[in-house]
Amino acid sequence: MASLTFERFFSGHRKRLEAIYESSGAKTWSVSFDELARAVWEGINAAASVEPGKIPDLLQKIRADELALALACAKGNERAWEAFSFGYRSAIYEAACSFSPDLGVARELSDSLAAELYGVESGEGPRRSKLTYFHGRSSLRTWLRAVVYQKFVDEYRRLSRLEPLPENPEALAAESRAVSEQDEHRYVKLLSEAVSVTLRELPGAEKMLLGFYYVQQLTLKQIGRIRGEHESTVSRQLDAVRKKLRKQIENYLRKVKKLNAYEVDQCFNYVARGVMVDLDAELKKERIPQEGTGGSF
Amino acid sequence: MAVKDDAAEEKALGKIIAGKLREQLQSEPSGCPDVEILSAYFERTLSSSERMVCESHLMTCPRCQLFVAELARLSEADERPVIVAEPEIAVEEETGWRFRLAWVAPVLVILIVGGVWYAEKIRNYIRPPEETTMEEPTPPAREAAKSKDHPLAATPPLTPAEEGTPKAREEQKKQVATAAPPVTAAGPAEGQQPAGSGITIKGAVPEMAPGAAVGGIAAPSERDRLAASAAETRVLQIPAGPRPAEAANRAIAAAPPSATPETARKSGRETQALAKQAVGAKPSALTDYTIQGYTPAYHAKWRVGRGGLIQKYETDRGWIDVPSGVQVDLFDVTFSNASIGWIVGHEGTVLRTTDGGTNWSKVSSPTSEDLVRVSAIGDQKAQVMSRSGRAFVTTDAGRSWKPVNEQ
Repeated sequence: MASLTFERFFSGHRKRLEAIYESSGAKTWSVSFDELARAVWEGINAAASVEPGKIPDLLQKIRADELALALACAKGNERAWEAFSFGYRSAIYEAACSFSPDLGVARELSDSLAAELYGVESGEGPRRSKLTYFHGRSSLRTWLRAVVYQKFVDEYRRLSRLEPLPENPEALAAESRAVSEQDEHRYVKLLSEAVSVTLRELPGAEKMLLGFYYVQQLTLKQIGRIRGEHESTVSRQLDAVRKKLRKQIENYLRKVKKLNAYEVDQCFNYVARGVMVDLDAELKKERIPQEGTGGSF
Repeated sequence: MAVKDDAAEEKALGKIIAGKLREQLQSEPSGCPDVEILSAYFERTLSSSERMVCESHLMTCPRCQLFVAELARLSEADERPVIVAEPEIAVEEETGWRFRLAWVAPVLVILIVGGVWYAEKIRNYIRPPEETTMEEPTPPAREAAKSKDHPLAATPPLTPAEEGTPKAREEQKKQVATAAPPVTAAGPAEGQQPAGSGITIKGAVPEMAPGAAVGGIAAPSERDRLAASAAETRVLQIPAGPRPAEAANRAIAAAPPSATPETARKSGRETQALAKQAVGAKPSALTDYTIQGYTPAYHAKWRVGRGGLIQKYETDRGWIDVPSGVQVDLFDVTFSNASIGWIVGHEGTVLRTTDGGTNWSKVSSPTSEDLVRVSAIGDQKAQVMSRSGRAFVTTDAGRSWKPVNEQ
């Protein structure tokens, strides 16, 4: 199957592209039809090559007005920069402030990014703006937030969210050893194993829901934004997944590890007491995001 | 034996789940999608195949999961604060609502009763000419008929309860057939030019019954009926010269008093036609009804920005600068009406205007945090939100603030 080229895309969807051009206000910013069409193509060519039938749908979702503004800014149009500054500068600053409690760092981050968006001159050629990497697939505001976050992690090595460790974990463990060290270790280890096995068997979507809630510590509302659902729906789904997981853990402990009902209860009891030597070790293994985090240009 | 603590158990199990999930994520993620794809994934604008690919990567990549999670956290800044009603005001509104209800009920009863009574009268008045054998006399005519000198005085005047009844109509038929009674015209209606000036009256619709109207405006149930009848535009020419009633009376008096029933019926119809002409009807309240509206003047365009910048859009001049008196970055602007506006910005800056934005003055601030959103209702009340999501409200034009209760 011949791969889709820009020329074929352009000729096959010219009318739609013209409609997008008219509605985007690109003329106001002195952005030509060809420039806009090429920018759109860059944004959707990967998906369009795989599913050519989805092109009309993809075109409909393009944020043409913001794409036109970004293209004009990348070209150095002063009026476009004025509009960009007043419409989006605060979003950059707010995002920077949310990552760094130090307002000085936040201001430096946002100013530095603003300069990159405006474009720096390189030895190889003319000024190149970071805005050329925006193709209208998402809103400009979300894209800018993503760029700020990436820059923050790249330059300031933000730590991931950590649970505070108990002040004296060994003392806590020693307290429980008085009960029954052997039982405690055994039950906790069994439960840990059961959780690990059942999580692997969970469908990906359910695992991701648990990940956003337990690992990323998002609220139900924030998870709802990602999934396009109301927070009450997310709450019900999370509840259902937790119950399902619990049931599968108990089944594993009973059927695979041959524990009786009392022993299964004991597994959860010891966990509830917060005595988890293994868990402390798990928490110490928390990863810090590496350089070049999630996504690239 | 320890008491089972479900909450603690749930919390501890959550920690285990978190730990195991992290374990199962890739230690060395690769093939991460670019920033734009992750942004588009968050906004759900990817195609179905793109979304599937992105999600399968997200399931195993801790960095991209964190990336999307941060976008979700930041997107909460897009929500505007909602003004929370103060308890005192809420109570006041509640009692005011009950107070209004207390007197609305009896007024409604009066309106309904009056409307039903008057509906009957309207129906009789607006009957088509060929079907009508006798017009119901207008109130002034009825009053005149009650006087001793009136030819109808021989017959006992009709009581209000009898008016409009079949008995009344029969009685009036007899009276017309035997002695064509003069119909006293109502005279020039209020607001009209006096007789003799040759005026044109449109839409002879009777005046409203007091019970059916409030403030001279027809009740909704009456309006449609009246509008329909008002549409039948009857142009009446009141000739210059003697009063219309006198002319009518002369025409009526021309009929022979002892006519046969047939001629009496014919002359009765003619009499009716003349009587109609003679009756000066007041214009309907409906034709004088006006609808008033307004366009809020404060929906002008404003914008704020870095270094204390405030600008207002004027059609002929475009964006013009307005002095703010501050040098800090400003983040949001709103107006509650044409005069009262608010601006918030860096390090708790709050500005207020009372003259439509010409002059801005700093008011007290609830916090030293950056304020990124402001909403306002009325002259005195506003709510602001800090970057960290804390909301504060003032009900005294910014002299004092208090935190909005956490929900």
